[in-house]
Amino acid sequence: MEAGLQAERTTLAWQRTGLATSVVALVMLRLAVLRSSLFIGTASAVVVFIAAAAIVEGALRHSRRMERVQTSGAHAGLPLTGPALAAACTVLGTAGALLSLVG
Amino acid sequence: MEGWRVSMALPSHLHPAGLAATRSSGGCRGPHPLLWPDECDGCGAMTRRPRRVYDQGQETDPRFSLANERTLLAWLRSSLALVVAGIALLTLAELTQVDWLPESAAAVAFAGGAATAILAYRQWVRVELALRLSRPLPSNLGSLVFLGSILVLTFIGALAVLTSST
Repeated sequence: MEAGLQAERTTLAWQRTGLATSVVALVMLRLAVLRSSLFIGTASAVVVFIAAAAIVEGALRHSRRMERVQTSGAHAGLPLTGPALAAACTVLGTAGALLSLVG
Repeated sequence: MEGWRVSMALPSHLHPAGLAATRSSGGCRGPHPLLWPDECDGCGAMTRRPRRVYDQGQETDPRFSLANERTLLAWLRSSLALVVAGIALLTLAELTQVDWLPESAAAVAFAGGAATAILAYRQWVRVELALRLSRPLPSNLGSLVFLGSILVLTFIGALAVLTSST
């Protein structure tokens, strides 16, 4: 039972992070539009897409994760959305730094 | 899973060698929806990525790995918090007369956010390896960078208050 809750918490953490990333990316997209920066706008749009994909992937993965943990099988491995979300956050940070330094 | 059945029809030289070997030993699931090969049930060979993590050591209690996964996500949210702070400072910069102070603070926040995200993934790899090799957990450079960014932001904030009062 406790293991099932662990899997549940992990799925919720994915949803939370995906949602937060997409919201920040949307705000960055708006900022890029206001400053008419095509490059940063495109990067933000890609990040929105990655975050949405992470939410969908996390939901699809949930049942498998529950099953693994309850049979105390091996961890299903970090999905590609893990490093992808980390890269997305890095892109948002770099895009913001470019906006604040270059204008 | 459908995708896998289709690719089984390909000539054998088109298969990634490791993948073909694992799949043929039976009891395996299809490739991951996002093309990130998943673990196989019941057949010894693992195709989980990143290989440099899953090729080493022994299986851990899945609850520890799940906790490590959640820690990565929590760090990514912390990194996003710094990015949001940067966005707020950029917006603030348009409202004030002093132009360089909020903009440089925003640059610090954004750079801190980007670095925190990179270090979060690095730390996930290091912790997962430590778990699999039964080694002590490594210290986290990311927390130092995160703390450093907040300290610098606080310093710039204090500077802004002091210069605006004179």
